[in-house]
Amino acid sequence: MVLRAFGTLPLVEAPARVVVCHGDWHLGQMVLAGGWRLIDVDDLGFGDPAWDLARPAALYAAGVLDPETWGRFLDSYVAAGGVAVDARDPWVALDVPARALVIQMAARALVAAQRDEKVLDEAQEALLEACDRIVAAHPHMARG
Amino acid sequence: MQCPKCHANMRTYDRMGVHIDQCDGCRGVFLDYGELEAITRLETQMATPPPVAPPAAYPPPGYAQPAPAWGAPQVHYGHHGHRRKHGGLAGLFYSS
Repeated sequence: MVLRAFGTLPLVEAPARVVVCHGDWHLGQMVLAGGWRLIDVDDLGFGDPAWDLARPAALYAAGVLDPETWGRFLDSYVAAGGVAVDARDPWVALDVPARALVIQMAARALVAAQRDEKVLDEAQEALLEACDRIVAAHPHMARG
Repeated sequence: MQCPKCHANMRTYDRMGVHIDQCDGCRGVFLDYGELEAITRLETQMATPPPVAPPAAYPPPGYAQPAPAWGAPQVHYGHHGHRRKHGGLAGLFYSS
């Protein structure tokens, strides 16, 4: 199912807007040291900024991150001048990146569970269910 | 939310700002108050594209957030479709 969900991802086109991106943004990259600092800039580069929001967007769409928290995050991002999304319809920009992150996290959860001989936790199950919904909602994309 | 007709589970979609609940069983569609008017408005816009995009306010806190078609089912003013269990979440939020 994860592979079938992967099959719905389109080839990524050149982004309409290219700005400086962190490239690996998650909460572990935020350090409180006399104010918040953003660390680990190994993957810093120019690209589509929507990918920096892909992980929380994916967790929200998978039902792991609750709507209020996600809404507060997105509102704050837009209020702070974030340019990755159009606040009126953020999912135009976020749909493909969030799908990709759901699929990546689900695949990693499966591999880790198999390696460690553990069952999936509730959040990981939610990612797999999101893969089901991705497959149900999208046609398979033929890649060259 | 359950379908009022066949009682199967209903799935939530947000398309162009219109909030739609569709039944997984009978495929029936449930519209919230004002959504039919919203659809009619969208239809009119598509027939004759307005010169200026209409202002669409971002949903206030507490209102259902926009979500992709494949998003987790959302319930208005609640989060029954959402999981608040935090065990195992740290890895998803905090690691590369």
